[in-house]
Amino acid sequence: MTNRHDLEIFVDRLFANQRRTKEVVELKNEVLSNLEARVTDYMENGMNYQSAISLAIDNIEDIESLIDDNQKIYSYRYRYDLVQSALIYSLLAWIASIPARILPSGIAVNGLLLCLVVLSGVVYLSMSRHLKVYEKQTAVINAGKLFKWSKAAWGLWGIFVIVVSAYSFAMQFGSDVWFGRELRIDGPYSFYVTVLQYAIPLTSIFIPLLIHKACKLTIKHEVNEQ
Amino acid sequence: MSRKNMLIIVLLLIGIGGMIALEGYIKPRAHAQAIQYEAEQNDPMTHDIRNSLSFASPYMGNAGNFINLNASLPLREIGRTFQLYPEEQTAELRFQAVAGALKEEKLKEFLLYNSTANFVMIDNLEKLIFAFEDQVFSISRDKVETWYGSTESLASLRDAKTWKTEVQSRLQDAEYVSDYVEKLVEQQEAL
Repeated sequence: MTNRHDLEIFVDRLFANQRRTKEVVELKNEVLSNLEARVTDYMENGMNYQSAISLAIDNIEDIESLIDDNQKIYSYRYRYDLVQSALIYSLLAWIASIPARILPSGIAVNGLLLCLVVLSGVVYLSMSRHLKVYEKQTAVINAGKLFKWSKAAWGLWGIFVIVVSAYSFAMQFGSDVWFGRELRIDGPYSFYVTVLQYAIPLTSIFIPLLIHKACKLTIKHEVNEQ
Repeated sequence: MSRKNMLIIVLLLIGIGGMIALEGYIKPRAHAQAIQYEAEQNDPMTHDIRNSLSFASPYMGNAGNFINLNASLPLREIGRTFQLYPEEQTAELRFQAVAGALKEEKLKEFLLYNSTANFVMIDNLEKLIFAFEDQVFSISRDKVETWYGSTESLASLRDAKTWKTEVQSRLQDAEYVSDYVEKLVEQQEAL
């Protein structure tokens, strides 16, 4: 008897970096069944369990070449859901940045986010009116590329936050070095302003979140040919 | 209506409510408090000396420190330039205003408060000149030291509590203030 659990762990790791599309899930199940059959076969021929598993795993091909990145989706519904998510994320970022309106930079960021709310709101309302008509519209998109963009967006956002925070830190806490005068946080308002300088750039998190959502929606709106 | 559309409407209402609260109540209140605070800092009676303590320096030649110290003291809203005379250890503040336009008692309070603050905060400042467009007021360190007497050295006034008791609270006594100006301040017409 094979231990299905060991093989499942291996297959999960093998597919860890893949999107969970129907095609990928089917392929994953197929690989698992194939591995089980091989292990059972090796064991019936007198091989011990560990050796059978090792040999079966060694013979697994590179799965990247088996997965097609191009995916057919319901394009209008996909864009509609994406605009809806953009509206929700920009609303959340706008609300989160309202307390920052105490500072001039906060007013600018909050104003920009409000513009995004209005823009995505208008597009969303306009798309809602035509949803019934274009509901079945389909298109093929390169979901693999989108998946890579999602990862890159998180990486870039992380770098952006680190650089901006380091710059704010150097400008504020380095005042002792630049101007010979130590930083003073002498009250709640002063503390609030200091915290805001680090918090305002974090509102940009809605950008990688939106790209991540775009990636996830390709699975939700995948066209099931069967 | 879908749950997500409900969420959008709720978020929109929260945002609009937040904006109204911030722009209609919190910011105007903070603005009024800032105006009141600024007015308090321009009056020697209500000025908070803690804002000036960080400008304590042993040298009068530190121009940046000198101008920042005086920008933290009363009459800071009046435009001014300055001139330092390191050889005579003298500093001159040239106000772009007419002294005669100020209330007499406020001018006297200012002369006492700001001159004391300058001598207390800058160790080697020997003479201070407040030059207005119509009048020039000169005060020297030795006279100020004599005024505060042997019980209080000028450096000991760098403590906020001591400052309040020994300098600020005495401004309420108009006779004390007038006495300081008559005995310590040399006054001449501007050229």
